[in-house]
Amino acid sequence: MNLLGLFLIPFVSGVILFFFGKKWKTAQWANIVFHAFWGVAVYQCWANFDPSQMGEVYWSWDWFPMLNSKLALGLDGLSLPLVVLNYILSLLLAFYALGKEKLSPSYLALFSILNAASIGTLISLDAFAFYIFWEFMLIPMYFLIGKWGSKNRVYAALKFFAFTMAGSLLMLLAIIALSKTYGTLSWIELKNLNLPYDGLTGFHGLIFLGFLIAFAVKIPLWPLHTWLPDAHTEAPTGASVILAGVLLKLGVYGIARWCLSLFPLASSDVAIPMMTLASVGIVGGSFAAWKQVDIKRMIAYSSVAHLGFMVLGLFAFNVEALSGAMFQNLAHGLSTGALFLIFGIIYDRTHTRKIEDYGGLASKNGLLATAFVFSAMASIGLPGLPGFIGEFLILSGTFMSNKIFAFVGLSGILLGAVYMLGMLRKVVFGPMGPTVKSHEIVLEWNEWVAIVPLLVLMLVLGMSPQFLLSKVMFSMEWISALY
Amino acid sequence: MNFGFFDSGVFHFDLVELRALFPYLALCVGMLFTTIASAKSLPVFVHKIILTLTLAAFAISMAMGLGSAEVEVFGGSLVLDESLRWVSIGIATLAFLALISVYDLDHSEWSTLMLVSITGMTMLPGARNWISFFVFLETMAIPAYVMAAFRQNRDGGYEAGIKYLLLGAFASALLLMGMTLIFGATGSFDYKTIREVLEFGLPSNLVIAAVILLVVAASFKVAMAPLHMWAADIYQSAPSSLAAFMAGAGKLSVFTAIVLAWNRCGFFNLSFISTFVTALAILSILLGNLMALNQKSLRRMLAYSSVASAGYVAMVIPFGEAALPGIFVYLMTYGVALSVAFASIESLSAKAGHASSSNFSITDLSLVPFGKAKVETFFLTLALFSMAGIPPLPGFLGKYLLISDIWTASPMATFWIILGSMMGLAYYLRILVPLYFEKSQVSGIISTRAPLPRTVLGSAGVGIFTLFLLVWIFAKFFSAGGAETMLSAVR
Repeated sequence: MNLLGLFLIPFVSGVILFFFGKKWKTAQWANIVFHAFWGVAVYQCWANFDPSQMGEVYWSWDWFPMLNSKLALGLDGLSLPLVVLNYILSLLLAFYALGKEKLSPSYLALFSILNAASIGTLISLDAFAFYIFWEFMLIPMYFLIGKWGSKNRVYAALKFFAFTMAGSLLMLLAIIALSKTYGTLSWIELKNLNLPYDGLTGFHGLIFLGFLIAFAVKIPLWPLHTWLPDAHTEAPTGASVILAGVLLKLGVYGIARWCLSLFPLASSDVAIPMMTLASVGIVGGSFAAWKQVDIKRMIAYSSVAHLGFMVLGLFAFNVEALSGAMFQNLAHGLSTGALFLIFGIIYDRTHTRKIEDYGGLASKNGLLATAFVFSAMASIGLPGLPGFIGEFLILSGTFMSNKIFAFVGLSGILLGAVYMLGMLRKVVFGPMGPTVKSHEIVLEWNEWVAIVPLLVLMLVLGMSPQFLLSKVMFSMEWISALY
Repeated sequence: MNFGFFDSGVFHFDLVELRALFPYLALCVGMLFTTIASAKSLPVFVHKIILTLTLAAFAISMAMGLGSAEVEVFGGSLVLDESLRWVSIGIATLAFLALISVYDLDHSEWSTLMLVSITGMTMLPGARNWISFFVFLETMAIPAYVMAAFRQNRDGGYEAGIKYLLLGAFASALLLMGMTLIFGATGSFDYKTIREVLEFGLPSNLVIAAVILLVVAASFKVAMAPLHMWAADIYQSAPSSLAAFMAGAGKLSVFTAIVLAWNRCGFFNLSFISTFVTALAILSILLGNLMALNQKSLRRMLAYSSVASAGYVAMVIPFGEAALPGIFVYLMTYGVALSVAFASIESLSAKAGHASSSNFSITDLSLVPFGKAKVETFFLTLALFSMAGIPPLPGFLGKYLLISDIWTASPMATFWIILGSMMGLAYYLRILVPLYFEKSQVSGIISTRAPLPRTVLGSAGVGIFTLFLLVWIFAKFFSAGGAETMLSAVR
């Protein structure tokens, strides 16, 4: 497996893209070529993936012996789905960018570097390396939101940066404490040490909380979620898609990798509080989404609710719920990614995000409206689409560990249908709104190329989840065996 | 025949000592040549070439000494050990960085003065008694007083120079007073003897008063609050390349010397002094960051941010010798970032049509024509992210090491550093807003003076050399056992 190439290719292509200057058309096509190279590396990893290992290090470099840190790279059932999802979303966004002059070479370059950082976060099995990549993601995202976002972008970018940074600093302290105490930061070595546990306010409990809070900000778990609606609303379409599709998922991934695996006892101690927060997030996020007048803000709050589901699944600690959380990760990445992408395409033409300005999209562009409804259905969790499988697995797993939270989660699905269908009614159906009437909504070929694979993938995943679940099952069993 | 004083060992050399002194001999030769070059009014690039060769000889001969035993010269007044060698190489690197951006100076003596100052800076960590400490400190400081006032005709350079000189003289007096008191209390200027006395019994009030005076004097040199007032004026008014160099390299040298003196004199036995240093550090972090938030001039803002950074470093001093590698890496990365930031601001202000960069403010950044200053903008961004301590930029490594030295011992001290870093984020990121997120008000360059760098080829050459040196330093320092050698010097 060529794990080094997995993040070096996007990084190098990002650096090259900076030098395209004003040749934005060439840069956009070059970006697709770079994605082809990157695709070869991703395919290699997918094809050579060994589903019967967890946390195996395939490549390692002793970069900071003084800090007990190695650049150790590995790919297992936890990271593989997200690596593939990241690649797919990025490739489709590369197609979406074609012909848009605003998406200049520096935009594409920052995007590539963001990809390099998120892939690096996913495949590094060393806490220090993980932290470096984790924080590195902030820099390109800050510029993507701040430069290419809409009106309130500077505020949103700063809020995003400050929130995530503040959370991450706690993780940094936890990493330093681990390094100083155990002399290693390698995930597998820490795992084999079977870290002791001395209560949540003890030394190891605090280390655990440091990791947990950093990830909770990223997810974002209620009540640390307030940066997300701003960031999502102001970010450009591509950044919104990657933010929802990959960056938030890294919080879920981080909890599974660094909290659940290394601190099983501490994790069981916080299970009830975490599930409570997740439930508040599900219900509160859904109600907040219901009341939004801004479509992107609504999708952002729906993300808060959906990510609550995943946290619920993580802290149920059984195979069903864990694999459900991982599957939901992917499902939400595809469906919300598609929602942001399709709405982004509409917004490119209408330049308004207010729900009240829309209406009657179905009679203007039926195909696009179909795609929009399809993605919204996937987001609600209609059977046959992946959201259903993820939520079903999570809820059945949660039911086994705690029935009350399963009922709260169930009500979340219902609320999801309420706000999504309400939005669809106002945007897609009904009488044609003034904005829809006055704007031509016809899609370019490349925009269809960006949308259609997402819908197909959703259908494939929804119909036969097994081809993915079989790859991640070992890792999920490995984690749940700790409890 | 009896030579008296001359026979006492002070002027006795053997071959080992002479070889150990080679770096300093190189500096002296360089001083001779630069003096000739100024006398003959030769152009700036001649000075640059002489300095490059001198510093290269200095850095390489210091690097070749790495790993060998420590050497006493001048009868023990100067001891060349591992920490001195590391700091010397670091200071040479920062000097290279300053060289890239030196141009358009009113006076040609800068090169000689810089070499004299470097001599003092690089000898300072090798002091093993307070007399040497004082002599080396003054060797470093006196040329800096002159350089600070180089621009006496504009930008308040004269005011800055006088302020610096007067306050510096005041600090020197405090240092001398402290030395006298400590001599009175312990009967020696020698670090080792002082440590033995301090470990022997309870410290007298005289010792505490003496050490407080020493700490206060040193805190002036590194621009810690409340003795930081000069820093803002110097950072704003001195020629930018020299200001960045004096600030970065000076801090590196003085802080290393303080940590070494702290441990060798056994000041850690005085708990009151540790509290005092921590209090100064907290004050610096809060005051520096709050004042930086409030500045219009970018260079003044950097001055206050460096007050805060001195606070971070001072925070770890009471935790003993283990902090030394962290301090070295932090101040190296900070010095590099500061030089890069100053050079970028100089160039951006030129492109925005300002006659000088002294009063170049954040709002003036929108006068920089869009797309006409990509390199400067990019480097300024890197420097700011590095100073804010965001990975993967090197400044993160420095802060990481600083925190990792103290955090398990004192979560409270860590809290202050983290709080300061979060406050710092606010003003570092604020600079990026007009640079990237707002439309530029002008489309073409309305420059009244040449933007940096004037001699592209020479600067690029020195720049590449600096880069290699930096990579080498960090590779060697972080390789297995690299940083431990530095610690071995203390023990």
